[in-house]
Amino acid sequence: MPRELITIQTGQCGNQIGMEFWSQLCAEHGISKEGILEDFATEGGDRKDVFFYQADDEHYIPRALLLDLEPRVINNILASPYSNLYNPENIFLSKDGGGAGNIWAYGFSQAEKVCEDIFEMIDREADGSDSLEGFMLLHSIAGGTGSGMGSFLLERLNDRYPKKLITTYSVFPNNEEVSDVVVQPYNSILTLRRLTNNADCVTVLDNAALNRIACDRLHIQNPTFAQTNQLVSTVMSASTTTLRYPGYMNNDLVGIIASLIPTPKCHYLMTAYTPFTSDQVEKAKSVRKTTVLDVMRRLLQPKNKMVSTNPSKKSCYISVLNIIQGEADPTDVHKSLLRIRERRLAQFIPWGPASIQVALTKKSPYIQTSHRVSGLMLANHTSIASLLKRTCDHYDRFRKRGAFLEQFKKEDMFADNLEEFDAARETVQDLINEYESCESNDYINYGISKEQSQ
Amino acid sequence: MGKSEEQTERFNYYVDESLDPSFKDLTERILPLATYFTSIDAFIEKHSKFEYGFVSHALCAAMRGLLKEYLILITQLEHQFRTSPSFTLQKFWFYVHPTLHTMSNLHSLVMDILDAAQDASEDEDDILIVEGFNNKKDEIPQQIKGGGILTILVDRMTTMSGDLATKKLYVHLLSKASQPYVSMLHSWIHHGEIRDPYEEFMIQERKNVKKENLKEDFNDAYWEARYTIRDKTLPPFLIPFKNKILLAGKYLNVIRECGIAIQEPQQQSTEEVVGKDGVDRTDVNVNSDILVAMDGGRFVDNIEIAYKCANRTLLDLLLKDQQLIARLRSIKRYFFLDQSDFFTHFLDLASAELKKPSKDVSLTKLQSLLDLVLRNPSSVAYTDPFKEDVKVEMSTVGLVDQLLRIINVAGMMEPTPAFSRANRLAESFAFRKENVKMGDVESENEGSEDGVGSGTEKPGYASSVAGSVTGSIVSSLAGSISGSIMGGSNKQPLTGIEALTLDYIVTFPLSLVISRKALTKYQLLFRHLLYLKYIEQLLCNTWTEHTKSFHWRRGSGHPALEAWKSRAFALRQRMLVFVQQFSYYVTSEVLEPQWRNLEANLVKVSTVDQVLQYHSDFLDTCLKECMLTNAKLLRVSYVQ
Repeated sequence: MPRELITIQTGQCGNQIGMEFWSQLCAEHGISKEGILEDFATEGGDRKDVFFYQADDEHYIPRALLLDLEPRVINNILASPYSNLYNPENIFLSKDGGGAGNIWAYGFSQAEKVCEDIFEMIDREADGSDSLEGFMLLHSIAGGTGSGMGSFLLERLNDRYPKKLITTYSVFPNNEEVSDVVVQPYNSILTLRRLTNNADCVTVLDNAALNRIACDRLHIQNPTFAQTNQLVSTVMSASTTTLRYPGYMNNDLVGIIASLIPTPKCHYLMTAYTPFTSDQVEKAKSVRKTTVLDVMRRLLQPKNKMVSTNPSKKSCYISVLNIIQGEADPTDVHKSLLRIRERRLAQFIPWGPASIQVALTKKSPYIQTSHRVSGLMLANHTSIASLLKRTCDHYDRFRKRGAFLEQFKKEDMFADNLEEFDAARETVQDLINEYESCESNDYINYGISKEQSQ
Repeated sequence: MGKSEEQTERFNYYVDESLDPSFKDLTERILPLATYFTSIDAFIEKHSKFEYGFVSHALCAAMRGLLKEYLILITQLEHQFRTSPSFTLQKFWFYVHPTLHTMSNLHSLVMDILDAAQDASEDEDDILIVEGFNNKKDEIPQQIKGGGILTILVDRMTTMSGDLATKKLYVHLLSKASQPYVSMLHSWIHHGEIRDPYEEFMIQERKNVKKENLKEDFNDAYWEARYTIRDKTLPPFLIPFKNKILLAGKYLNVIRECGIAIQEPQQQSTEEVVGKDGVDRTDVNVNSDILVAMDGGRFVDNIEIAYKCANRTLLDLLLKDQQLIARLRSIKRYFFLDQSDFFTHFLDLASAELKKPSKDVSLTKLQSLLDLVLRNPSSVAYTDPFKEDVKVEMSTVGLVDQLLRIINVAGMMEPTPAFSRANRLAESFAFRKENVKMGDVESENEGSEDGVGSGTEKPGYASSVAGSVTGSIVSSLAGSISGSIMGGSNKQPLTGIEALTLDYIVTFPLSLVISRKALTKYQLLFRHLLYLKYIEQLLCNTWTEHTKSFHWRRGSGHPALEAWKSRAFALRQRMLVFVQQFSYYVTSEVLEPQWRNLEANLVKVSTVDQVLQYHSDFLDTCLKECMLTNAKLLRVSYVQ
């Protein structure tokens, strides 16, 4: 069937998230850890082929590529119960196995060297799908492999598959803590340039916010990576439910993101999910009453957002899509939307349709949850600019001092000059400006007024 | 003595004036007997002819029996007269006196029937028109056969019920006369068959109304028209049961038409012991004597049992054997696209074909593409057992035209005060439709020129929408999109996508519920959804173009160009959001809740007619809530 999505997971973070994501999908579709369909899961009304294909022996195999420059995480995956799930041909490990050393430039140049091998895999997967809709890239923007290799892939994918959607789930570093990766502002800026120019939709996940949610909402004192990754995989699986459990609408990726992203540049989405319970995250303690209104109201609360932003007074939503899973009565949805509008819980851009879109989907019949309704919000919000600004500030401070640049200069790209950095900085600044001008009333008309004033 | 009047039934005898007054007095008392006898005899003679029907025959037989007794009496009296010198006229009077009463009753009955016949023949012209039959003038009027006779009997019995002897007589006559009727009733309510060569029975069968028409004819009314009640000759004591009788037979008939053996009545009744206890006699407000006279009153229970049994059998047949709910669910899947993954794929595959004018589209190709999509094991529709029954079709009329035609036939519906959200959507929707409804609108519907006029003359509508920025932008961009894709001209014939519709093979007896009429409503809704989906897809393609192509995406450094681009983006965004919101309204706020409603109703349904009612209500509500029945809204789509 049509509209397949190929998942590319790069680097430590990407692969860890990916592992959680696939185990979540397997559970939702009733696929065992070895990729075999469970007996109870024959008539779930679900579509597995968006993310899986069937091998000759009826095994379900994820349309996933596992890429890394160092073997640790992938070896962990291969030692896990899910080791037989993946197609071994789709696993790429760098031959020297040294990793990217958290240097974007190294990851990028490494990827360039093994480009042939990787694209052989990608082409094989793409040929194996009837009508490929696009790619999903899972990575972090701070490390070396995910950011460097990810950036490289973004550039090349666009050349190779110019009509296919490229979406990413990008984990942003925790800016509030001192990181062990000192060069993360450099890595981030360089990756952001590719995300801005080469990706069509970037779902921003912010480690700071994920930790905060784990602490505040789930009362886990020191969340482990596995636990925050479960948050991410929940978001990813929820955002793809309409593809996997087809309903009246939103049965393809483009239908979901097209209305979220009015202008091509502003394609950074933030998410919120509620309620997180121990169903999704191990050892979480939180069970509440869930009504549609509760869910929709909570989705708009900043503390549930999975991105840490500092919204200004002018910040507003460009678009909102709420994916409501479970038994939701459309009249409740309608009432909730009215209530939200009355109380002005969501501020919208002045030049576009000011409405929250809703998609109603089923829950997986194979997963028992303690709550009736759960919701995911995908939102395009101008306050994402504050996150980008923070990244820029960090970068500017480093760059002014010229700190830690030696590692980058080792690579050809930066050997002669650091123009690449400046170009990246400029792209991000443009993006920030674009987001800020979205907040103004005359965003779509400023050309006209200029013409008239001339 | 002499005779008067010409009709034998109405002979009158009178005594010669010269007779001795004392004899004359006595004779005149006895004389009516002669009148009664001749007229009754003549009546029996005439009404025993085959064309008067079974009930008439039975009544005549009963009367003949009575006459025979009378003749025996007369013979005995004659014997007395011949042999016994002491037999006087006084004695004669004494013996015949009781008989006189009976005879006079019979005579007045005969007269009643004859009067009814006369009345009937006077307004026979009306009947001719009403029944649409090619009756000849000498046809026996309904009023004096079958149910008509029973009605007269029952009427007389009720009016005379004070007189015990008379009542007894009528009970006798009624029980005899009703026997053929009761057996007809029996065969109807237990077998669904009518053995009624003389059109006596209360149920009328029209053999020309065939079940095969259900699939073909849009207005076919097999269910309503095949069997009807002859209200004029319905015996009054059956009135409380008339619907149950009609339905019981109708249901059984359907079952029989399906080739399923119908249980014997004995089996039915033994099985229905519980049902028998449940017979509610309180609502039966009929003189129980009459019921006792008819078949000893058992038929009331029989009707109840037969009705319940037939109802249950047919309901089981529809809901269990024919899996009505599963069928409807499958229809909903294909026509409402409730799991539309297959359809997205189909549109992808068929997009080239569907851009052609509808007459150039190859149906076989589309059908094979649809089959391909449905049989794909990864499709959600794969598990549907009825997927073979979906067929692709090309409509010859545009959706709006078809809707307008239907509305014009059905009479203009007043715009209902729908809730504000619907109205708001509707107004903008009309603008979308204007452009979606490309093609033949003008050429095909030259006749609706006044429709166009009335549309433009609605300044309220037009200005309120056009006044809002959204409205105007929506309409202008929709125009450009439809213009570029549809070739821009309004004079073009329908394209494939406009004409595309689905059909569904429905077999008897499901076609009772899912008739052509119902399917057409499904098709209307389907095409509505299809247009929405198609426009959404076009807008999404535009989005992809905007997002993926270098020139749209990268800044050019020319502020004017950039401004123009962002206006285009904003416009596309508004249109897309609108179309998606509208689709959401149609699917999640109309179709799905209505469907759940129907499903819940069908589970607890108790009669087949309820099933029909719920289903047609469901479709009508859907059409109305989707704003497809409001001519004003549809007409706005003609505003250019």
